Amino acid sequence: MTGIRTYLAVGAGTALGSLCRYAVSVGVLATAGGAFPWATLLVNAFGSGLIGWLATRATRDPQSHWVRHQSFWVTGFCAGFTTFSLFSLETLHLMERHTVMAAAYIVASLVLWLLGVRLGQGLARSR
Amino acid sequence: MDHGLIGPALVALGAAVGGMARLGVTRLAARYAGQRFPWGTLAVNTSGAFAAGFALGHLGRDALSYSPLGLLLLGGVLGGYTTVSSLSLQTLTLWQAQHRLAAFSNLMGTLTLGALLAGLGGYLGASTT
Repeated sequence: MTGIRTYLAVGAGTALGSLCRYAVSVGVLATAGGAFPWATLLVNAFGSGLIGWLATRATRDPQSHWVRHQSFWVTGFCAGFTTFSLFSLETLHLMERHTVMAAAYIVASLVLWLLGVRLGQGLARSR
Repeated sequence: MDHGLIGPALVALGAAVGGMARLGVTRLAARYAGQRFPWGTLAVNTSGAFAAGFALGHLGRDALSYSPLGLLLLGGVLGGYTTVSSLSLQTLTLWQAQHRLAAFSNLMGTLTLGALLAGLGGYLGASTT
């Protein structure tokens, strides 16, 4: 699948992923408040886990649904669900006000991103 | 904060545009800079962080917090344009292929450049209001 169809699949997947991220952010803001960027932490950790699972399933089972629709799910959905631009803004915002919280946010993010993707890979391998 | 269906529609619309722009940039990077290092994701994330910083500096926090413009620009376009999932996967892939230094540089480089460029974008955005 190349050309315009790939762009459309990625665009649609990204739109769906971003809608889910928006739903998470609204839900988290209503329950946990806005003092700490829990929503971004959550979507980035979960999105990393999902891409680890999808990418590993794809190499194990090249005929699967996930491989045929990789543009939609991997390049689109996972990337749209996660966000680096907001992470950077939130990091800067915390740095200006609360150094300890900023450091905690950065460390927690790094750990959860890598743990997430490794866990996703492990789950896909154990199936 | 409640814009009914307009909020989600703006997020989806912006994200579709941002996602397709990301595909364009990563393809260009793969073509001209090769595929040994994920230059495309690095370019997308650092330029997206700069753009987010610029938008925030230029328009101000109040204009972007859960406003239609903020949902379109930050939640949609830039949220769809940038990615943490690819960054995580590519870092893990480099690490497991024994390219430890490249994995470390990718993650730390993205993080550092992202924060620096978001700050620079904020400064430039605020000085152009």
